Amino acid sequence: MFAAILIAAAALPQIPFEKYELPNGLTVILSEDHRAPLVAVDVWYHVGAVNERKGRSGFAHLFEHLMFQGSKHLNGDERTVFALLERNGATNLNGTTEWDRTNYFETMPSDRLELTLWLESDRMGFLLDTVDQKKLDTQREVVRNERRQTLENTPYGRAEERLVQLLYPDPHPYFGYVIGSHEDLEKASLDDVRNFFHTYYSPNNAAVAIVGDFRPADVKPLVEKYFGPIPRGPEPAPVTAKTEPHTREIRETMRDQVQLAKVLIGYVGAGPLEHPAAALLMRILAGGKSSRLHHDLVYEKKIAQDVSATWDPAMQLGGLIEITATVQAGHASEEIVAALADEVKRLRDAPPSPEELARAKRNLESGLFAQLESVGGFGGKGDQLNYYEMFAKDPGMFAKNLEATLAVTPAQVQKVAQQYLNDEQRVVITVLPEQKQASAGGGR
Amino acid sequence: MKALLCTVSLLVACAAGSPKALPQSAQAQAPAASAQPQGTPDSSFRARPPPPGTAVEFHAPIPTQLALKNGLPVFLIERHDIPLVSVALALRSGADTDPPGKAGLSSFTLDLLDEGTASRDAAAIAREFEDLGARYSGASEADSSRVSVTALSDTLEPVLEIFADVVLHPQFRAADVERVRVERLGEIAQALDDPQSVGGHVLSRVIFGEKHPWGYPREGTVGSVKAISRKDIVAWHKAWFRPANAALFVVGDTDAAVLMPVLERRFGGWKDGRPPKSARHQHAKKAARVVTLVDKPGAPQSQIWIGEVGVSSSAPDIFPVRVMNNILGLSFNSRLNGNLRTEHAYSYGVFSFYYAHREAGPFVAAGGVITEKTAESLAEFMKELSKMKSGEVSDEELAEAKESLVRTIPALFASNDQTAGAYARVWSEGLPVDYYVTYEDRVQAVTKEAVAKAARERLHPEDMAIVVVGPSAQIAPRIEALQLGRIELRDAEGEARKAVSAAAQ
Repeated sequence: MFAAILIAAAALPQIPFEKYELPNGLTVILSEDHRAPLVAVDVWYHVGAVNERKGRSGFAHLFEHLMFQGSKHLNGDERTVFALLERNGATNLNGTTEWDRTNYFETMPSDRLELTLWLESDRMGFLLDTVDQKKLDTQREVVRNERRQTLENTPYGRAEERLVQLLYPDPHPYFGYVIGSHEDLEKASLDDVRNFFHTYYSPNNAAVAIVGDFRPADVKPLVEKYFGPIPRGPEPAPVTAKTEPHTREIRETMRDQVQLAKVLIGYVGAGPLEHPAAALLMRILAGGKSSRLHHDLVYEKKIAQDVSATWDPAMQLGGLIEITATVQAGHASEEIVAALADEVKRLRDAPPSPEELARAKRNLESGLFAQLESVGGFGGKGDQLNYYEMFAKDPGMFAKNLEATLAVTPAQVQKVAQQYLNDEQRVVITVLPEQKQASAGGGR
Repeated sequence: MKALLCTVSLLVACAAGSPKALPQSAQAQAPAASAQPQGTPDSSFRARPPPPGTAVEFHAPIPTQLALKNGLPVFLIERHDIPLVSVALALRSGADTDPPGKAGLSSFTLDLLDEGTASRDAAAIAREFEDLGARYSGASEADSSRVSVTALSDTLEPVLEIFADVVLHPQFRAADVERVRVERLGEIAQALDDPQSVGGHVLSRVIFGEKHPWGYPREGTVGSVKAISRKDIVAWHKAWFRPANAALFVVGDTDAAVLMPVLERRFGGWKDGRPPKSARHQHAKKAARVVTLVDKPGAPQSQIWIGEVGVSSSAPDIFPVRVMNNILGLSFNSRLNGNLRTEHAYSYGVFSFYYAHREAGPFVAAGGVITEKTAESLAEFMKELSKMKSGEVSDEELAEAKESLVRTIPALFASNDQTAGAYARVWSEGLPVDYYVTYEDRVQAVTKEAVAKAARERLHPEDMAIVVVGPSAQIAPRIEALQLGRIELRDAEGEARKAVSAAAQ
């Protein structure tokens, strides 16, 4: 392969950084990047759906919405908060909740950094001063609409949720699928809000990454000024929930208002940073048009409309592995289930070829280069630094993990497949069209 | 990646924003926890947001304009901080050139470029790009098309060899055409199952009518994709892939001395010749407004899509229109989102957008709302549109919209891909290459009067097309009671349907 030689010399993606801790326990990660006059602030709170108590599924995410409803010195509602950020040129402005963590981020013109620290420290220190029943009720409804839109009224949405529920059965904290149930969302109270804030939204349970066009000497005093006075909170109790291993295959069939059937196969995979081979394994399966599933099922056999294979690298209780294929018209879902099982078995039975593995590594690497073009936003530098801080207590693990990933051998890939991708460990959901629909349109 | 707070997934999400004042007086009603374990001590420096630091000097990168011997323009921006190069080839032809009955032809053609060349089959192309760590994509848009690749700078030369092969020598082998046709039909079926895309597609049909290519989805319809022949595809490629109809945009870790000989070698042999003249398209006939319902039995949400023909990108009032729309529905803090989401909690988020092309694309105001409040939500949409048309914007709204548009300029150029895309768009839309140099001044020059005038002249809420995708039996009676127009039923592809629900006559 000529390509391998060409690439060998290229420098690896890197993120220079400096990390320190304030006396109140807040982790601060600074990373200079002077490509553009922008600075990203990305605050990770080490709390997510995993910390929800029984009967409060969806609460971590509902709480995230409340963090946009103003705080003591920015009193108002989400319009007030977004207005301030938007008129100051915010882009990549959002908050996201996952299984294990919640984050808040914005990319600003670099002369607006102090303003951003003011805002983030105000909601870390003074959120409860302005939260009230009306805000909670409004956001509860907004979130229920979010559930309707992204899950209930989206093709195959309920199957995605069901897959997680079967892999992490009640009372597992992942059972709520982050968005939660209507029933539980309705129960959320102001008391829950206060308790959650006091328990999890303290500086010692958070890390703030500041990435972009600034000088650390200028920024450190500002971080101290705004975040320093926020008192340390209690140490959150460690998560004690366990994921029971699956020893018997589970199969379910669901109906949805769709024309094409779809197969979703799930497994409980590796936790964060457990196996550098895990991400490569997914790429070999479905990482591009030349990946196995795409090449064999879509291109050669033409039995699948589309395929995907993902592993969630940020779930401490075992990362969701999901392999999906939409069934091409005229083919049976059983054919797809069998074909997917064959592909997975091939990975267990033999290591991937060195060429395949090299290709997977190269694409992972070039994808990282592209991600690192962004100081903030989804998967940008701020998220990268924060991810490694959260799961390894070391943002520098970015580089170490990349090196480890690039050193993965074909045998290690096979070993991961043998550990996690066994048939008795899997959940198989088949989604079938709800009823015989008059073939839509046919029109022109 | 679950559960984002973002406005609407369809759009540029929450980017670019605007108004609403900081509350002057802080009144905290029913303060939650007075007995906080240990609160953060307050300080006077927290009372107000700190002012900006030393003003940021930002100058949008301006491409160097070069050309190959055959006349193909090359726009180059050098950036050496990351070993990546983004290359985009743009064409000034897209869905606007789809012939009647062949909606989706341009998109189908673009999709097939990397499915086989004279010397490579689809698998080889995919494998070779991936071996080199290159990311390739190609798609047609409303009146342009773009083929892009991002390469590590070390591998730019071999990547460009494959890229040029794909662009210039696609073979459109019958077997590949048929395979991709089946995939497209599958994608269309999937889009027809998704109420959000159904809303957008049916709205386009109502706005542009059945004689205009923009009245159909970019990917085509079940019928049109079946009607497209290999001959059509070959002819489309031959007609529009010409250096006189194309330009290259290169951003990243390379320079002219390295780049130009490679481009000359790969694209220099591309024959010139003017492309055919694009056909003029017939718009839908003006008729009394109807409210179009697409039935989605049992849906917990209704998708509301409202729109009309908008503005072209070179319209003299394009900047007042942009500022106006920022206030109306583009920013998170817009009037529409503030009403439907923050005030009423009917929605996860709504937006409005002007799709500006060389010719006027659609203006769209849309969002998903809880089914039980479909009619109420529709009424609020119409109320905000009318208010914007007939009313004034406040000084504050104006200032905040302008600030937001200006302050977000640097972010347009954050990555190589974005930068190449920004200039490909400028060129495709026929705008001057110094567009981003004058951008700030043109935004700042917008007055309250100009915004009011733009709203008055550009918004026609009384005539706007209205499409609702939801459980029609349940929602039709109350929509009818709003008296916005006669109710008609269409299927998910936008074809008229015999009334099935009793409610719709």
